Amino acid sequence: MSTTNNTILTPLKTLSVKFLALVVVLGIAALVMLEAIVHQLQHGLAVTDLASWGTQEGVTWGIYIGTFEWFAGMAVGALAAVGYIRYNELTRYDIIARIGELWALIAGLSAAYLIVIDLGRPDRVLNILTAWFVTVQYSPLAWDVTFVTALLVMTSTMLILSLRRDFSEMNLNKLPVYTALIGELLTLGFRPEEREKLDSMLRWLGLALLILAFTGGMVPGWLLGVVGAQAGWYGGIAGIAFLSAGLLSGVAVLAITAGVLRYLYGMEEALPEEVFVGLGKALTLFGFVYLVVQFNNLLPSIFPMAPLAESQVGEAMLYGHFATDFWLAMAAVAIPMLILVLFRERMLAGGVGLAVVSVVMLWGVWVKSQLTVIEPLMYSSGLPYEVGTYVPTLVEWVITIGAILVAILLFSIATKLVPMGRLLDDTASTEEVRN
Amino acid sequence: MSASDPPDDIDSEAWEAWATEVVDGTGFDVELGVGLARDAQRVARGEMTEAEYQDKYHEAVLDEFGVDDRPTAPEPQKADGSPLPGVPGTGNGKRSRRSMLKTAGAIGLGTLGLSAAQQSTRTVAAQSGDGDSEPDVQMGMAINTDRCIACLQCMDACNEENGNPAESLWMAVLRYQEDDYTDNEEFLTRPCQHCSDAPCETACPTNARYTREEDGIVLTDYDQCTGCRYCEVSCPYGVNYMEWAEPGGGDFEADRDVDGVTAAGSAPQGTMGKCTFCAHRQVSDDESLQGTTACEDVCPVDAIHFGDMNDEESAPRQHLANDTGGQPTYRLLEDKGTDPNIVYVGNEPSRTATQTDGPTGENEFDLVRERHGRREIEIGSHEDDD
Repeated sequence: MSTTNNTILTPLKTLSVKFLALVVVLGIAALVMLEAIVHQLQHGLAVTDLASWGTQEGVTWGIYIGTFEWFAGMAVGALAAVGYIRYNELTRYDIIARIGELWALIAGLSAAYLIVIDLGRPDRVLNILTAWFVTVQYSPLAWDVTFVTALLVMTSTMLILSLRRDFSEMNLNKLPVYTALIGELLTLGFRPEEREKLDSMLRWLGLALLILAFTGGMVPGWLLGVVGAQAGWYGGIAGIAFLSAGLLSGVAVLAITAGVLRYLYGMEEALPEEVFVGLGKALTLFGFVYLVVQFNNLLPSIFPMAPLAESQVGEAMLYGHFATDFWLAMAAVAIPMLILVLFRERMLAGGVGLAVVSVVMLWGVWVKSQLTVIEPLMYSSGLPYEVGTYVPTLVEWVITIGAILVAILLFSIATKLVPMGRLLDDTASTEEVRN
Repeated sequence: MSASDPPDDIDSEAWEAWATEVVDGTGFDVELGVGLARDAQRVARGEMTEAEYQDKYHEAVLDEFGVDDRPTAPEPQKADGSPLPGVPGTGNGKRSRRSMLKTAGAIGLGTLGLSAAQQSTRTVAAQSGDGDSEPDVQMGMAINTDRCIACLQCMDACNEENGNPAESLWMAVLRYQEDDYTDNEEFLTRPCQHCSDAPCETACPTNARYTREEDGIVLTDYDQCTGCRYCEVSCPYGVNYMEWAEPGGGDFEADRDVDGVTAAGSAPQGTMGKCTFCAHRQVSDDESLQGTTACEDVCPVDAIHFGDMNDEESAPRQHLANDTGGQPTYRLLEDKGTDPNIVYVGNEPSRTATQTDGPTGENEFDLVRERHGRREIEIGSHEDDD
């Protein structure tokens, strides 16, 4: 514990022009998105390219729901990573846990926000809560609301408790005034004797997060997996497929963030190479599992014994209408995975290489999320309907990309408000701070 | 005596003691719980009907729990052999004995007490106002596609009657061909199937989609619907039509109110609409409108027959009994397990049937396929994609 990692406070203590420029750019993006939302509220979902499947030959869920699945998965993956680190008390990965806490919260909120955007009557979103006591018995959407709520509550609790511990070890006077205020608030009534209890709570809450991720974390997948009407969705692997995508994208977003922070703030000591090697190993494993699960999900549908509707969906994905998108998405996961296997040590040196491959993987998972949602609705089965079409409108793109940029904006601001981890520096030990 | 080992004789003192011990642990009314359990056994043995069972304890269950959530209770949501207690959807009086016992068991465990904490206002309203309901009525249709000439008058009449915009085809006539070396064009007249086991109700996160207790019609509470479209996703028939924009259709002149629920006529912007079996006619004071639908009225070849599927004398049952002309009958996508209440007379479209081009009404009527603002639809995309 004698290594100094003072650099974790660098993001808090600096405020560069570049950062302000980033906030301004992202802020403008947020305003443009706001304008698109107002436009959609005024004219209804008619400003999207969504249409009813069937005679209108459209898809009724599009990139809002596809991106929701992506964000929800990212939240689950970040949640699992935080749980694993906290439960096993992997001190070296402490910063990764903090990044994960923030991302799980932000990705969870973004997912919930996209659901509201997708509603025909967003003003009635609370109806889902008032009817919850009845609908939770059968509606997967009510289960999903339950899961996302649990995720937000448990992640916030983890964030607050871990910040309480971290702040208690810091000299608040040396921090910027707003961070110090947050620190004061979160360490209200702190007594040194509670440290042991706090450590224990973080550990067991970590286990709870892990359990939540691997059980309730599958619910957004079941949302599609229990729907018998759409070929390509129904089946026992939907929850697993969602979770495998989530673990990959969750760890990828942590790797990107860690790489960028290290690069921008020179956090070589706080984020040593071993951490990136560990993240790289996790990405390799989760990338491999993701590909195995995706092909397990798809390949049975193209065998001659598969039901007709299933084979139409599978064929469109593997060599039909969606083949280009599908194979690009798979390559975007497979190639970075192979690169990680072959060149790990060399390219991980600074964390930047890992961030780049993570971005590519995240993009691949995003594309496949869209295909998963759109395709069965486009290739409806059962009645003699036509194959649907769907080309997202400008409004849909602006709102979707805006949601991603706003998530980045929120995280950027968070790095200026709360410390990215605990201070393991002897010079700022608890005793000194408290006396 | 072990609580897990009930005596066989439900009238014996030993059974009474065993049941009392079990129910006592739940904190609910012991006498009621023991009575429910004993009579549930009688129902299982066939000594008592489900209806008697329901009636006998309705008041007491209401007193104890505030609501009567059992599948047999007179409310829109009925359990129907679903393994989950309280799951909505099923057709009147078609519950399996097994699911009923499961639900009775759930009451014993006090789960009802949990779910009773909240109920949608619609459900409660329906419950209090249906003392003289006839749960054995199940409205449905017999549609003779062999007679259909694809004149599309039913589609036009439907949109006219309900004030729907041109793109919301609650009734749609699909033209299709089979891949059988004949050029025979066939038609499928497709309204909502008003399923007894409607997946759209199970999907709905706000309880907006429900089955009307009195006649088994599946409706949407327009005041409750959030427009999430999970019902549309879960329906295998593609009968749901979201109102993407402010509906630009005609006016709906009748009352939108069905038993205190806004459920008749076209759906407002942002909510989900679909065929209501002309619910406003079914609740109309004008008796000549009851038991009729706009599509049935206008059909020039008498292909559509609307009425109570449980009544042998009804129009659909009479048609099925006497007028099929030797044609086969079927229910659409029966393997989906939705228990639809439309019975077709004629050939069932196969899964490989492809749609053929033909008038969708724009020449004669104000009907279109494409959603307002989207590009024009071309028939034949299935073939192109191969």
